[in-house]
Amino acid sequence: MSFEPILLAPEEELEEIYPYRRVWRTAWIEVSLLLIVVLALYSLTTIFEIIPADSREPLVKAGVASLPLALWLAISYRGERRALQPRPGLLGVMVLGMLVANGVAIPLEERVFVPERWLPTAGFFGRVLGYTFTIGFAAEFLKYAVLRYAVWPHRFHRRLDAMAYALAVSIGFATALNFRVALVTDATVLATALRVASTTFSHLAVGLIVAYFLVELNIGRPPIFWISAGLLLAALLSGLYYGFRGIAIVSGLSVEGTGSAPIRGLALAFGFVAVMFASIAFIVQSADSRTEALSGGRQTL
Amino acid sequence: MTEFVEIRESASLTFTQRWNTYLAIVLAAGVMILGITLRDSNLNATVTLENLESGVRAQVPANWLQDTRGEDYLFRVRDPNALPFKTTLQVSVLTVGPDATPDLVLNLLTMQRSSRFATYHPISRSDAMLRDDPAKRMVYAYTEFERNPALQSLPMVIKGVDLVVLQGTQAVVVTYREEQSAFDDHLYRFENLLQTLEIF
Repeated sequence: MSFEPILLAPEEELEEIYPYRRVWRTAWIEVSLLLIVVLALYSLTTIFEIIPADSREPLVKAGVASLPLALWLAISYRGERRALQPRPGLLGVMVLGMLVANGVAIPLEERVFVPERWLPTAGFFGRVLGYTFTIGFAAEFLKYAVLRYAVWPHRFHRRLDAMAYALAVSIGFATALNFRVALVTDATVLATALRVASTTFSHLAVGLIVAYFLVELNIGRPPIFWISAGLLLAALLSGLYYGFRGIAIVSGLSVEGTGSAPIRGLALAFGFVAVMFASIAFIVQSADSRTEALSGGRQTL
Repeated sequence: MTEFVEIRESASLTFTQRWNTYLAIVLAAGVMILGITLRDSNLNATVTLENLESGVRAQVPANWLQDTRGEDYLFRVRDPNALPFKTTLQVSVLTVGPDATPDLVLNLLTMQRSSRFATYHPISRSDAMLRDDPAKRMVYAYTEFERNPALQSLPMVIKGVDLVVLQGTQAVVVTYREEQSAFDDHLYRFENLLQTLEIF
């Protein structure tokens, strides 16, 4: 008499359904696509010389300026609409970002702070401080105000919600600035593309900071100067970015002459947004794990 | 009858959240003031320019291009960032006879400029004082053409003002020129120059 062993199949683990849009994935795709398009324009203009270097077609420039918004609508917003639990009000936040940039930030820059009249000739530290306490702080405070009074705290359930809304308001804000560069200035198509990418990357990068401070104010127990510290940190990072950008785009003296190196400015902006995305994603993940462990949802060592 | 009932989460904020909001607004106001102060201290910063030989000293805007080697003037400063015309302040000295008056000096300047500047046209003259000395002020205009033909721009109307004051056998002429639409906005630069001008 023999016994056949009874084989029991292991219990099938059901994959947990993630009901929300994955914010970092869509953000990385948008940033990468924008970089690729601008690099392609750069190559077609300066290396292959297919596009005339002095081309200033307003329609083409407007198309370039609207590219970040189009990418956000096609990837992030569409992804949000297709998610099981879409975050409501993203489009409204983006439009508010555009409105505060066009209605407040641009007039402040052009009529009150006029940074181009005194900051380009200042030294590095003067430039960093100047940008920090003028257009850097103004931009971050306006983005904070949109988030604070439009969607906080009732839409900030998870830390990634804050990041999604911050990216939306930053895209709106950057789009208004991009259209100003494209339609008001006499920049060429290539210069517009480089400026559009740099502006978009820097606003996406810095905009995440205030959102993180805002969501912690909703979830955690921070001190009463928490938001002020976040605003100052975001403004300082913005000022540092402008300061280093000035160094990056001015190429060194050589026997062949002097000139600008705008591609280095693009590299700096992309590096900045990449470092900020990676850093904030790490911080958010760590904070989420800590919160989960404290609430008993997961065991940690 | 169907009745819709809206259920909203409680919107009451905690003490920390409320004070964070207040402090952020206070901070924004403070940073705004700081930013404007930084801008003003940079835009209105001045440096001293002097010519010991002619005995003239004045405060001129810092970061402007300085020229002390001109034949027509003791010194001239121009705003490198101004568009389309570089805002100009200049001080010049003319040697005059004992019977000279500020009006005669202005007549001489008008004659010289009529041949130098296109469509030069004096607009008005008025009496003025420079500290305790009587002076004469003349407003004028002329057109200037863009020297770069590639830019294909229209002529600009430049508006200027001269203030002439006599000191012994020399006439000190203080001049301000600006593109006409920005003339009034930057006239304070000229007034600042006059207030700091020392003739010794």
